[in-house]
Amino acid sequence: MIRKFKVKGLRSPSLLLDMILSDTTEGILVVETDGEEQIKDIENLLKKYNLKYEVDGNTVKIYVGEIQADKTINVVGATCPGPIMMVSDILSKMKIGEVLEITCGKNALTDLTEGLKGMGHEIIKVEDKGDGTYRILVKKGEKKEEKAAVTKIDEIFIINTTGTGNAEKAYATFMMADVALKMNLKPTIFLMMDGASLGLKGECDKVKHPAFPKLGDMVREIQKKGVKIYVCEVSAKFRGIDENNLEEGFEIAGAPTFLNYLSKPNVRPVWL
Amino acid sequence: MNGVITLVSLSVIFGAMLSGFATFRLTGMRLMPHFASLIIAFILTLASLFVNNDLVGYLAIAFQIITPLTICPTICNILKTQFQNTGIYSAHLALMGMLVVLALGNLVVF
Repeated sequence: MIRKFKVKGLRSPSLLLDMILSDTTEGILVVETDGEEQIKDIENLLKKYNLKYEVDGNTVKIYVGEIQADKTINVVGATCPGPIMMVSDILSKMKIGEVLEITCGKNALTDLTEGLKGMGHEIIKVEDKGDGTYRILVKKGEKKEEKAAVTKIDEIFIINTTGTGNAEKAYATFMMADVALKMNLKPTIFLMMDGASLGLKGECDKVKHPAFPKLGDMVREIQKKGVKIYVCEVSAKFRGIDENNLEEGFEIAGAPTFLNYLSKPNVRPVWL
Repeated sequence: MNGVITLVSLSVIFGAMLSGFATFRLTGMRLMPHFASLIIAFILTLASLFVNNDLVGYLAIAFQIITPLTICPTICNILKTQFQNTGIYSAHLALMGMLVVLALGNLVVF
């Protein structure tokens, strides 16, 4: 069960929270606060109770006890687009507000969290089970309403389909990401088709044009600046690329992640 | 050595240098040992046409055989990871294949 309440304006929100927690056995409390001072006060109380919590801006999400899922599904071992299809199929049969527990492998983690968010559902919790699988709790939400308002483009989605087979495009992919950062546009790189070859360990280090630094160095520089680099799961599989020979920091993602980025109104795709 | 086969080998190597340079430009600098070997093979084959020395002839044949072999690891990787782009390598690959056969021909008639 998810309960939302506001503590705005209260000098010691922990007093109220203490009372609420005393009769809460399980669920999630979403507390909307004024800011830092109130959050600190709440944090002190939560540390005393030893409760798990997350701070997101001015809201604090508190996990009390074990959340009971209405349905569970295990998609471990399924590859893209299997997991999202299995999950959306089961979600379509559930009521709004019900909680679904998903067990999945690392390959499907980003796809599911990003994809489900894009579909209007709420990701309550993501837990690493330690054995290579993850537990996701998702609350079924309503379909997002379409807004016809003008949206400012603040993200760039760079898609590379040629990989190291075209050095110029490979360089352009990472250079563009760097320029986007400087222009305050958040870049994300998606490598698909032959572009997935850039995700092979050591492959980028083989490319070096006299006028530019080694491609591998450029990739590491971009990663240091926090740019996410995804490798398409199907393309990776076609080329024998998996977690073992994937370049450090690259992440395998599938069609839901790709389509989710393309469907965001504030994102502009760049095809290379 | 049969002058005609050597001349054909030389033209194949020269063609391979041009097609190799095109793919090399497209994919970045990544075929260095192979390209170096190809240039040495070209020089030795050209020399063997004018120099009447067995050593030069055998070295030319050796490099004509070694050169296509040096491309193997790269081409295996390309076929595995960038197969949609392999068309751009096909001209160079064809000439490399011909070079091996001509090198064996040179060896037989030497």
